[in-house]
Formats: sequence, structure tokens, C-alpha cells
Amino acid sequence: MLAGIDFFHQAIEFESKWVKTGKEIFNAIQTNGILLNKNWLDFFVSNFFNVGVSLDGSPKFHNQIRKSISGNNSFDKIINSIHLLNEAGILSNVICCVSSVNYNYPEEIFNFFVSQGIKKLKFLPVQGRDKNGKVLSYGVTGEQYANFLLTIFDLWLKLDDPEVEIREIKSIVNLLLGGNFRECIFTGECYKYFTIYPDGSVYSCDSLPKTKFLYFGNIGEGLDKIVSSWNFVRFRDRVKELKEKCCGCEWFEICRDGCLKDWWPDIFDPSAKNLFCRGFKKIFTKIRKTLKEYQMI
Amino acid sequence: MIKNKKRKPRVLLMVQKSVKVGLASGWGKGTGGSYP
Repeated sequence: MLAGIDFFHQAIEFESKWVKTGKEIFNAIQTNGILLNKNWLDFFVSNFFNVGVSLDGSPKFHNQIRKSISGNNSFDKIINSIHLLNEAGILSNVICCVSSVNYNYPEEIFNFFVSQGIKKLKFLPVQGRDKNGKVLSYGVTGEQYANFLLTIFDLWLKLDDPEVEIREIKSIVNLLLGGNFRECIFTGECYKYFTIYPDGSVYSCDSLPKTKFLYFGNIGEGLDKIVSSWNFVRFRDRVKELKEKCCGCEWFEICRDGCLKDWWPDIFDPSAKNLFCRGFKKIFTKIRKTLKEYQMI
Repeated sequence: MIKNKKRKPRVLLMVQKSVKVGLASGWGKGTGGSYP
């Protein structure tokens, strides 16, 4: 949204040319909601955008981390934007980062979102280490995230409101029941996601660091050149190698090696390992056990 | 152990139904950039 609304109007104009040729184009945007106003809202509604917003729970959690540039709390502005989007029927989901600030309060956080009428949720673990391998101060471990998400799972079952969706949980349940409704982290195909930066440079998924090894070219050069670049081919092959590392695991068909950002110290390091592996195994095990108890598998 | 095995939560039944009707694709990319 920092690019300004005119940029988006222009994008829609370009898209309309391709739509006439039979292409299907869907627009979605993830924002912190700070810049949302009536103009933006009208634009999103009239152009069928799905809008996701990031909010880390109630003010006592969210405002600890999410400050404006001037250092002010951002909660009030964001919750107002969420309500506007919800009323307009275009709020696709809210992403809540699970960090050291809120991981111990799953019940409070779940109840807060439900009380606000926010029913499509994603809980994203904050994972990260500095160059020395030290966990970032806001980060959570796989075990902490697993405990958080499994409490959310229990609360979700207890509430039993079909309108409430927790993306990770819905995906895991679906996969355990034999479906194929995958969150991106469970596809094992991270090389299918690209990030295009304002100067046209193309990198891998932006969950990964923007390094020279993950630079695939410039969008102006065309997609063929990008997917045949040495860096892209190396990256794609490495994603497949990491997947092979995991193929002996009983959870492979669900997990498919998880999110690349969780591989540490670096995806190209021969000793790389997924820091969230044990945590996700715990999540899969508990959810499978519950489905068995309900005799659904 | 779950006491009443007959009463399956509606949220689980809903996901089960989506499997049966064969919703194949998942969501798109789930995150946005670095944190915070």
C-alpha cells in the first residue's frame, strides 16, 4: 500500500487486458492496516481483493511489538481497519505472530479474536536466529509453538463454531483425513513462490533472507530466463534435496519438510536441520490421536 | 479418552466434508516478509 492507490489502479488496468484473453487473476494483499481508509476500502471492494491483516492479539500483546515509526502503539488503528474490512466482507484472514510475548497465552488470544468477530486466523511462529545462532529475543522454539497451537486446537474443538478457521489446523486435519488442502509450508515446493521487489528484482519466497544466492534475475527479463538462471536451478534442486532428507519420516506426506525459513543455519548448509521439526511432530501426533479418538481415521 | 465418541465436533466434520468433495488446492503463500 506504500506504493499508493494509483499504482494499484494501474495494476488492475494491466490485469484487465489479460482477463479479456481468458486468464483468471485473483488479488490478495497482506497489510498491517495502518493506511486503510475509505478510498482504499472502496478500491478493494470494487476490485474483489481479499485483504489479510496482521494483528498479534489484544493491545497488551500487540502493542509490545508492533509500534509505528514514531513509536506509537498501533493496535487501535489496526483493529478499526479490521472491523471495516470485516463489515465490507473482504477480510480474508488475520495473521497473528506467535512470539515470546504471547506464546504463553493461547486461550486469551483465541478468545480475544473470537470476541472481535475475527474468525479466519493464521498463527505464524516467529522464528529467527542471529549470525551466532542465538534465538532472536522475540522468537519461539518449536516446542513453544507446538504447545501454543495445540491449546488453540483444543479451544477450536471446544468452541466448535464452523465459521472459525485456523489455517494450519484446518490444513493438518484435512491432510490427516486424506485430503490435499495444503498450507504453503506443507507443499515441499517452495521454489514455486517468488518475490518481486519494487525494482523488478526477483528472489525466492520472502520468508527467506534476501541474499545474492536467492536472486533469480529481473522480471523484465521474462520468466523463462528467471527459471533457467543458475541460482534458481540451484535453489530448486536444494529444495528437492531437503525434501529427500525427510522422506523416511512417518510424517513426510503431511509435512514435506516444512517451511524453508525454519532450516538452520542455512538451507544450503550440508548440516541444515529444521528447527521446528520436533514441534510439528508433536502437533501432528496430537491431532492424529484426536481424530482417532473420534474414529475419523 | 473422549467420553462421547458419537458426537464428532462440527468443525472436524466440516473439514472431513471438504476432503470428500475433493478440494484439492490449499491456500497461497501464508506470510508476509520479515518480522516484526
